[in-house]
Amino acid sequence: MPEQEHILKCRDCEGKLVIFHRHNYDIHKKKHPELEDTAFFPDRVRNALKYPTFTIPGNGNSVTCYYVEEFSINGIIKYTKVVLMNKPYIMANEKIHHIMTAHKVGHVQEEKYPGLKKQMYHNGNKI
Amino acid sequence: MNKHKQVVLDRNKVLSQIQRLAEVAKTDNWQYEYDAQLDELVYGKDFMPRDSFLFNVNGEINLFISPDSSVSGIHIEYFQANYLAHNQELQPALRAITKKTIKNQRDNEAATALEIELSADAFKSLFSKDQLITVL
Repeated sequence: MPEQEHILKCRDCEGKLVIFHRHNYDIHKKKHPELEDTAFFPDRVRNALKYPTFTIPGNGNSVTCYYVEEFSINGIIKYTKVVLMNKPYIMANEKIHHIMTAHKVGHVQEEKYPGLKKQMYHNGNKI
Repeated sequence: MNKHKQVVLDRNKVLSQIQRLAEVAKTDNWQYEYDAQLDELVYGKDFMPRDSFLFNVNGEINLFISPDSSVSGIHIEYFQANYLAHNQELQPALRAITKKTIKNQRDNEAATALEIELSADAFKSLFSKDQLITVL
């Protein structure tokens, strides 16, 4: 993948280098306006990658979904979800994982598939 | 002070828009967008309103909706792997909506069939709920 302008570069809970490219961000912000809300982006996205509540494989195991439970009222939970491509690309001898999308969501669609194993975390460590 | 709050949507207003989905979609120039890498379908406005958020309808369909209960789109994760997998008759819609432009009659009918099914699915699920509650 050629070098592209990025809007977020950080490391996830396992130390993987993660990048949200500007081009992809611009596509997804049209549908998820929270990406333009400074109360959400970039801090909540960075936090979800570093301190997920859980991760779960998505879309044919080609991606990993990071969920962090942001808050809950009367049992209704709001999450930040970040979807990361599993296959890295190499740049300057470093493996980089591409953020495919990030947004708020109230439902964990992947839980519908019993074959997808949820990995729980506490303070960024697997439990 | 906790800034988060519970919001009760206007059920009748939401139901009315979903029932008239074709009309709403035409008025607001909704477009289909399918992201193959995410297997995600969005049918809605090109730009979602600043105050819009995802509201889960039935474990498959999310609405893009604003606190005033205005619906601006539909969002489905795992569209091909899940939604189309158990709505086989809608398979032609995927081919139609992944074209740059829908030109022929058959594609137009497939896209319309998907719109009708989305409307019916969402309406049935929403109608079964006494209240539409979310948190913001």
